[in-house]
Amino acid sequence: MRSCREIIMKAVQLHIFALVFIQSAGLQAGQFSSTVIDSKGNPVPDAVLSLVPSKAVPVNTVQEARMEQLGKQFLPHVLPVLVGTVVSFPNRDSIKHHVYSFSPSKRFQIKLYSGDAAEPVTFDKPGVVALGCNIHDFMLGYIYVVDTPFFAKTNAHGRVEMTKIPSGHYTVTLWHPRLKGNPDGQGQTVVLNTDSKVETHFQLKLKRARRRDPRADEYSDN
Amino acid sequence: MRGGVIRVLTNIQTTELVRSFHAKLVMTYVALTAAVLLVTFGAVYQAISFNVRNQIESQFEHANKAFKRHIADQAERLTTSASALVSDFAFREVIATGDAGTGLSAIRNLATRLKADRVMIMTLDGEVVADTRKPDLDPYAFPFPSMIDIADENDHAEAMLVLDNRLYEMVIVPVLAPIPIAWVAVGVQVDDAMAEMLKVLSPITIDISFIQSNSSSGAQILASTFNPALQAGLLEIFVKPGGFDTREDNRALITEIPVLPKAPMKVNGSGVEFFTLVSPIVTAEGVESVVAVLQYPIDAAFQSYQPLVYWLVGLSIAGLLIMVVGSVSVGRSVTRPVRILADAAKRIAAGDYQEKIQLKQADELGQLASAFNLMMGGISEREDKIRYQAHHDLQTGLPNRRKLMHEMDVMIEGDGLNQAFSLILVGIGRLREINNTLGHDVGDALMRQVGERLQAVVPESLVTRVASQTLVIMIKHSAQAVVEPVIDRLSTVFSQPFSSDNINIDVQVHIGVCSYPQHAVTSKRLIQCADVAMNAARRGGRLLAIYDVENDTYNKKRLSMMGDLKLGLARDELQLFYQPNIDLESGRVTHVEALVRWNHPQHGFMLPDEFIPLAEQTGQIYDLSLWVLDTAIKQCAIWIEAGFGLRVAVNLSAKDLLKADLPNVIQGLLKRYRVTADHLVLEITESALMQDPEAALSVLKQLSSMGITLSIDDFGTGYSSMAYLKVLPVNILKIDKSFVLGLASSREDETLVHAMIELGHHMGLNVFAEGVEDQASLDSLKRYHCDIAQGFFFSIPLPASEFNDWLYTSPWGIGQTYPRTVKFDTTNRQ
Repeated sequence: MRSCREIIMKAVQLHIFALVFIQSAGLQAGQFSSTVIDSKGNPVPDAVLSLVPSKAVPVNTVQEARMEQLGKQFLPHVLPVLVGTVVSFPNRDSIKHHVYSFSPSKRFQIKLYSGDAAEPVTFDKPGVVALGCNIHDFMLGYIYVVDTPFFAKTNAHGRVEMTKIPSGHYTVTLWHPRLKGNPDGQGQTVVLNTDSKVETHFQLKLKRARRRDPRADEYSDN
Repeated sequence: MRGGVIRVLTNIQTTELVRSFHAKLVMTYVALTAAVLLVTFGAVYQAISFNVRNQIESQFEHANKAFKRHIADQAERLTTSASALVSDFAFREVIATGDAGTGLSAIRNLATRLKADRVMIMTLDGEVVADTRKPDLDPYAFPFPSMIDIADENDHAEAMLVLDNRLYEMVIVPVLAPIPIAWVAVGVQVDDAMAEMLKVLSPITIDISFIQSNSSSGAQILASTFNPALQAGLLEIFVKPGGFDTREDNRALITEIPVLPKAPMKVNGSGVEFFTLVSPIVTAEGVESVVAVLQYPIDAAFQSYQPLVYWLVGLSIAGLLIMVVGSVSVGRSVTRPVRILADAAKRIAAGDYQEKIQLKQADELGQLASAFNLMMGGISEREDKIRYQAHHDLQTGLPNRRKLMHEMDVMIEGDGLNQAFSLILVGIGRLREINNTLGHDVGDALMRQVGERLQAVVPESLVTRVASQTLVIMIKHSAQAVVEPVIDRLSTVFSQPFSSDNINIDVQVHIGVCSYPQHAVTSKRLIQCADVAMNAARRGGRLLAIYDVENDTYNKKRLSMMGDLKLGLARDELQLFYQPNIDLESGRVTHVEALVRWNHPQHGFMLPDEFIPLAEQTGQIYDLSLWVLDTAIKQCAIWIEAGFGLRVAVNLSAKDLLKADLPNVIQGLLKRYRVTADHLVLEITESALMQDPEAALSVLKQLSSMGITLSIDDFGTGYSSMAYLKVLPVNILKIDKSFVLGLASSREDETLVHAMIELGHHMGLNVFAEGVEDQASLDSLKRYHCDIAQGFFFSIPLPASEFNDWLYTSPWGIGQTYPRTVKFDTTNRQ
């Protein structure tokens, strides 16, 4: 349990690091926040909001990210990354996993491994990469590869907040693994100025959650 | 009542009654049995049908359920297996890489593993990109998009569907990597083999066919256990409009669908009827309705009941036969006694009461037979009694004058002149004195003793008492032959004294003898002759005298008279006298008897008795009768004209009835004088009727059919059977005056008259009585409900003119109804 908390802490640290990096890049910065709910009004976590700037922003640094396997689950369930990010797949379970993806944007497999034995994988094309485990069919995770440094994932309250975003025109894109169709506001353009705060709302239609192996819950960490 | 019974029974054709009754009995029994058997058979057949239907229905339901369970099981198996197999990493890899050639080989492999008939790969959008049935395919849209929606929703979908004219059970599962990247459809074809398997699964061999009905292309059989010929027949039914019905309530579709005799070349192809259940199959969207048709041959369904039906038919036929035999024999046992009774009734009708009915049964028919016997006994006894009383002298028990007359008539009519016989008339002298001094009892006892002694000495004779002091012995020999041997014996009879109450009585007798045909040819005349001879003996103081015409003044007159009758008719010497007949209920005259009188120029006034027998013998009677008829009908017309509806009675002779033209002549007379037939009454004596019954009957029937009333005159003097008289078309019975005259004085005659009136009424006849001479007789007749009476008490026979006066003056006449002044006023006649 202790290591679990450590992992979370590290992930958060990484995240903060990225934000700080972005913030320092712009001279002027704005704030973007959004609330995402489903058709019943419940908050939707794991929705990725990305702001694509009208002018491309050069990114020089190679980003890194982790997609752990814990309790026969991918953790996090949804991992948004910038194109070119190198993602490592540390196996925190005592059993082996066989992680694969047949998604067009990144097709790969890491055959049976445990611990940190897996080679990290570079995600160099934007798109959705569905992750599975060839041993455990019920394991499902997503790496959402975006072509912009400005993205964030909703928390348990369906809330996302992005700060210090350089002024400019952005196209707002929302993605969720179970998104059905396009919600209102998808592809809208927002203008961010210094100290401006843009607040958006999304209401999603979601597909049903996929069937999960009931035994997976025994190992669930939440 | 007895008379009524006899009449009813005689009037019916008894043999036909029996025959039809017997037939009816048998028919009724057999019909009833047949009806019961039919109903039973129908009920059993209904029950069997119902049972069979129920059985088949439940088998069908069972088969239907089995089929659906099989489908469901198979779907689950396919889904599970397919889900597992498509999870194979290499397979997923092939799908993910989109290698068409490898994909096809992979799904072929899959098909082999799953024992599936068809496997397809579809994109998530529902485009078929690989198909084991179509190796060289261009991608095409899966025709059942809703199925994909269901799969999307449930991770799998299953449905029956028709693809490329094949019926599949198809499941769709996603290829998960780990999110769906493609669909794999796995289908197992429902083909003939599968139908066969389902057929084997059902406890009875139900034939199963899967039929698709397509409005555009008609029906097609997707799979069937039928041979091609039956399939063709089945298809024809479903191609018919309205032949295909997939209503929810498919139980209502259990009907006999005859498979059309399309394939005579096949053994079981034609004319076979099936119980049929049409069960709709839920198919994926876009598929025309598909039904499973379950069928079981009706013959096979009923086969197990066939022995029962055969038994039932056999038992029914046996039962019917037994019933026919039984009812015939029961019918016989019933109709045999009825026939016996009917024969007995006929015998009674013919006047034969002697033979008893031999029917020893305790049942109703036996009782009826006893009643018949009792009735016959009663009738016989009564008739015997009447006959006895009519022909016997009740004081002495000797036969009486009527008996003697009858016997003579029989002899005379029987053999004509060849049969000679004699009468020996014994007159007992001093009997009136004996009666007066010693009483009638002694007188009667004396006569009885005389009779007994005479009978003893002349045993082959008939000894009769013709008058109070006169006995007549009838003996079958001529006088010459008789006298010598008999006379000695007679004298011994009277030489010894008679005794009564210890009193010795001497009797003085005189004997007269005459012979037929030597001395006379009629019975009446013979008695007269014997009487003449006896008187001659008495006058001569002799014991015995044989008839001598010299002693007989009457006969001389008679001999000369016969030639005069024709002349007399021409000279108008004959005249009709009329005697009224009184209706006892109204007390008024309703009938008139016409009586002929001859006013002879030499012999003076003559009564019919004096010349009618002579006229009969000399063949002049018919002319006389015609004259009487003419005159009487003429007079009748006058009375009708005057307004009196009097009916005129005319006496006919037996000889008249032998004249065939008599009815026509009478018809002519009635027409001529405009008299309706109902005004004419013809009287025929009982003995005349009995002389030649056949000929008489024919004429009488003609007369009766003309509407003329017929009357039997002098009833009681003959020996005619009552039943025979009933056969005659007569309406009136006229009791002989010899009975009526003694009515007031003789208890026996009273009984006789009473019996005769009752008998007449029983036979449906009106009863007339002639010879009423006093109030007492009239009262008796009234008491016995005699209809009409005639006699001196009302009036003697009168000439027409005097009779008219009587009509107006007598209390029995026409009364005050018709004033004399309008007597001949025809215009005022009603």
